[in-house]
Amino acid sequence: MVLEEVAVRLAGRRIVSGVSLDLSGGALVALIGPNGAGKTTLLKAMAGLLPHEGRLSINGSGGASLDRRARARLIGYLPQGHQVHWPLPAEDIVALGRFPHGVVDPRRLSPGDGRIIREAMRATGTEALAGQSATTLSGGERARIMLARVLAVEAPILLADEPTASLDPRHQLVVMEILREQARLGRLVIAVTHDLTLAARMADRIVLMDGGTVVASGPPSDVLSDRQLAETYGIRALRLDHGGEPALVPWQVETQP
Amino acid sequence: MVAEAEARSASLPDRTPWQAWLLPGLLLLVGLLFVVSLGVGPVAVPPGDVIAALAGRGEAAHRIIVWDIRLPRAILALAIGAVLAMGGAALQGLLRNPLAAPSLFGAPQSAALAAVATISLGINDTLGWGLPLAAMAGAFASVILLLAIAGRNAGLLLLILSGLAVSSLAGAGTVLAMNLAPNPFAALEIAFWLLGSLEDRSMRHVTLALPFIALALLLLWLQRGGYRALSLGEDAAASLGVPVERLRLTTILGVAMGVGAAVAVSGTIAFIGLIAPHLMRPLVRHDPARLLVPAALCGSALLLAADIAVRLIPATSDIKVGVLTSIIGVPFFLYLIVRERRSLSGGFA
Repeated sequence: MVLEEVAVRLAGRRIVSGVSLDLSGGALVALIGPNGAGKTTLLKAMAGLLPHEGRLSINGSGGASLDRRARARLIGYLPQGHQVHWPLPAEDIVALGRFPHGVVDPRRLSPGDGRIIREAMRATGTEALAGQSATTLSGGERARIMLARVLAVEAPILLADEPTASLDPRHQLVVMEILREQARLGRLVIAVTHDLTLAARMADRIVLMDGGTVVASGPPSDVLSDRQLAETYGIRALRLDHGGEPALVPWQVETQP
Repeated sequence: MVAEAEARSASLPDRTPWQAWLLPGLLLLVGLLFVVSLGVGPVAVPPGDVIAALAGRGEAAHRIIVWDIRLPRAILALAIGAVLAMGGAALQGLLRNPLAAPSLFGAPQSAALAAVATISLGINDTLGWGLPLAAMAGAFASVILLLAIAGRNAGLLLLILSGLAVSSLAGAGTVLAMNLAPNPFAALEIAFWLLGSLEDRSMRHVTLALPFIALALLLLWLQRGGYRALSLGEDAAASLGVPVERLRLTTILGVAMGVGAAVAVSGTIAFIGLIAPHLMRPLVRHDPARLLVPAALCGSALLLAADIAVRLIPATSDIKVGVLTSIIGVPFFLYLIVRERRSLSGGFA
């Protein structure tokens, strides 16, 4: 996915401007930045949910030239909050991932679609939840079902908006591991997150946004420098060494500019 | 474990075998009520004679009663019940809200206002094609107005309040038309739209309403995949390739067409669109797409049953079927409000 000078306007106000990125498959990209930096807006523009200025091309073809179905097969999008409005059974929710591939009725699946749905549920450890109603699932279970739904799209690009928000520490790790596994399988995974510790540890690349534009992009060690953290977040981080693996923990508010 | 997974068929099976009997069962129920509806009235016709009369045999008197008096009425009950219920189910799917129903949003009331207005102004007579068109336009305008007031992602409270405003406005307009009626006869004519009835309808009424109702049912049914995807919210649905804007417009168009055509021949019949989908929802595992057809059949059964009941209830003057559905519907609506109380009083309005 290549972005050139991408800008997004909402209600006449410029939320995102001048974003140029070149992101290729096989990487977990953490999109980070303070509240209001424009992360979700940029992610939605990437998913084709918001109109944008500038160029955004996916696999070489211009984003605007893709029809709705084709784009839906290329990009899996996981919105914030994991909401489900009806108490649908979990397996029916996962089956919605096959919608862009022409599956209208989850009761009538081809053997291929059925296999993909089961594989997505296996990858997220949700097979046992298949028949359970979405409203009776715990937050962590629902997050994993939603993730299975996105995996079932089998899109080469996966966009996740705060996939670990409001999850317990174990589920945060589980979800990030699943996303990293998807990147290892060759997909481009872009996850918006506020968790700098997980981003520093798990992401192959970090895109740091502030004030609607990208201020830094690169490997975690480059982007998450003391200076950068102080300038964008106004914090200072604690750096630990866990057997050669660096760990970063947001520690205190930086009072000096 | 693997063998177990492989043993499961490719399709996710219905969990309980009785779910396979849902549609046949509903069809049987509707068929039975249809035949009963043809037999019930001041002159009772036994079911055997009804079927003979339909086949063109049996007593001449029975043939006339069944074909000319009761068949139009039964067909209208079947069709109007179906379209009101599917309209409700579709609106609920679109807005992801079990309290969404055409009658709560003022659609039938607005359709009635448009019909009444064109009659008072002398543009339409009660048997012209202009009447269903005017009623449909009224219903369409009301749903557009509702969504304009409440906004796209409106919560329960906002929708209900906006619906109250729209239906009050339409009601006031209709009462104004009655108020300004040139003679008592015209006022009586207008009062008919407020009550909702299937009495004394002819095949002319059937040909007037049926094409639009059939088209509305088809239009709404074709959107079913979109309603299911919308369970995940608008952004997720759009990311799955659902044309959300078009879905919204098509749903409004379908609901307005169905409600408008229904109101044009029967007046306002409320609450079918609320009750029928609610009864069927647990039977289809809450799937807003698979809900549409069972809800429609349930709506047909409910309106047929209500229309049979008004003929059986001993009363000095006729009880109108629209009155009966409201008497049953309002307590049901209250029950739904109690059930949804948490989300209604919560901040998520």
